Amino acid sequence: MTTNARLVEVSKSYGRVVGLQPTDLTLDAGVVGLLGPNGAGKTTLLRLLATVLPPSSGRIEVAGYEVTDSHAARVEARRRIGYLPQEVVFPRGMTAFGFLDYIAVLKEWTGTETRHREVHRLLELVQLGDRASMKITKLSGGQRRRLAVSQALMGTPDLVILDEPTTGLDPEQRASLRGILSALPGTVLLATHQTEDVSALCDRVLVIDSGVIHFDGTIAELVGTAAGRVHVTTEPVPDALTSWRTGTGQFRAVGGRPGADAVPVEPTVEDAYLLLRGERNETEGMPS
Amino acid sequence: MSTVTDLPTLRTLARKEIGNYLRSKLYWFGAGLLAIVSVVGLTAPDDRFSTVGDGIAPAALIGLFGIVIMASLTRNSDRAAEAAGAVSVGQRTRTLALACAAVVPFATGLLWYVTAVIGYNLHPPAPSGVPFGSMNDMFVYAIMFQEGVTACVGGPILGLVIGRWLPQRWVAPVIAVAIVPITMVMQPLFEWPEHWRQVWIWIHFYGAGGTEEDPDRALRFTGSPYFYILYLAALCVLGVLIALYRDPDADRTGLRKTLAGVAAAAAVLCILAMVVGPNERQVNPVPSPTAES
Repeated sequence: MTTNARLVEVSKSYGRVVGLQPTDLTLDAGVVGLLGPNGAGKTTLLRLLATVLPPSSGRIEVAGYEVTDSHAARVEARRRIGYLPQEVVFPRGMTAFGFLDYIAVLKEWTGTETRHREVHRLLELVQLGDRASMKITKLSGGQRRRLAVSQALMGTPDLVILDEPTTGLDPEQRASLRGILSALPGTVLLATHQTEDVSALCDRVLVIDSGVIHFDGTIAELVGTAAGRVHVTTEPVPDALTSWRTGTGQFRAVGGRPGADAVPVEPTVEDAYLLLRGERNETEGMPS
Repeated sequence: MSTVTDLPTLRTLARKEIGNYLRSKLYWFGAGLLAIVSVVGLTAPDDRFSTVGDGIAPAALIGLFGIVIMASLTRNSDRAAEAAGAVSVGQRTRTLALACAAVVPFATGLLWYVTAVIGYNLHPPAPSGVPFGSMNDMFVYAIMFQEGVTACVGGPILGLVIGRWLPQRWVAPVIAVAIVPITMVMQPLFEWPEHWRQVWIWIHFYGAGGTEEDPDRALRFTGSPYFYILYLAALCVLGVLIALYRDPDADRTGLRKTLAGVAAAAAVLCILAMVVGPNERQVNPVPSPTAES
């Protein structure tokens, strides 16, 4: 299996605030999901891997290039990275085609014909082929997000890093994006709050909180941590981590000690994630 | 560092930025107005000074607007690079490509210059205008060039510097507007800023500065427009270097040396522009048409 990225004892601090505790991580080919609450360190981790942010300590290797070594190595690595930042501010007055074409030049696609072919391929891929000549300001939020995602897929990079790519996408567009990402040959690292995307797409999932990776395993392993801890009951479970009334009038309880009439159900990635978070908060005495 | 020396990428990106400059509505607005001024210069120029003073038109319509256009292009380039997060082409290449886009206003300035020189030759100025005395046609061509063409490049380069160092949207328009009153005041048409010209030459080498008896009499001011052109060219190079200095990946040690060298050359050229040529105002022996006989 090809290793496309490696972090060795990498940490990042912003003054006194620690964004990422010393972390070791290896990313092979496949789709990896990154889950975590807001401010957990997801974006810091992604920006470090994308070579946008220098680490405070440790070594980062991308596609065989040690990006912490030199600017030249960083440039070589960037040739093999596709990155979608969490927030994208588009240039003013550009069309969808013009935007991708400009970025293609920034990614050293100097041949006009091959560059234009690639730009058209990407626009078709994200179903914006018929919007190529439209100004970005005229595109809907979902279309803009798809346009932003498409630039990260330019040239089919070895390492695709996506920070909340499905934000603002409707279910159909999300399903379509899953199809695109699952077909990519290299490593895809996907930070998201959408646990459905993770369960539908990822071979491996990382759960990060307070700059520390607390879980690293397969979807089955993550879901397995919640086995026997999610129930359907007729009464609310007072000590459950979370419980709510479903459409059938019964209560779904995650964690806690349900009554005798409780029926265990198959947990989801979200259940497992909530339990993992809840346990961590209990350990640290924080409200969940 | 491949991003520095990658000429095919620089060429491609420069072409893109030239295209982006040409797509600016503000540029075409200025170019349209300048075309009108040029046609007037060819057909019905000023009786006394012909097209010699028309350089203010490209300076304002192409140079001044160029500050805003180039700052906006710089911001767009940064936004595109940030949208992609990690691109192999660095800020240095992008800055150089943006500087290359100044070829558009430069070419526009040259077009104006050609029409202004033709207009000057078709309709030479009156004896009460310029040139007179030690001045010749070359002197007039030089002041038209420094006033019009160099401003067409200088404005966009200033916009590039602003875009790199002060990228807030409001800065470039505010500076462009501020330059107008500064230029008006620093012309030697007023008496009080005269002493400032001894240390800082600004724009004019001739004008209807007047004398006590003849307030509209044509004068030649101190200094050399030829060295002033070179001084302005050095400032343009300095501007590009200052813009390049912003790049976090730049070799700042090397850049600092180059910056110091160009700044020193600019200072020398500025001094030469002040001290070469007449060191006192020269008065046209022919009175102005408004002079009392």
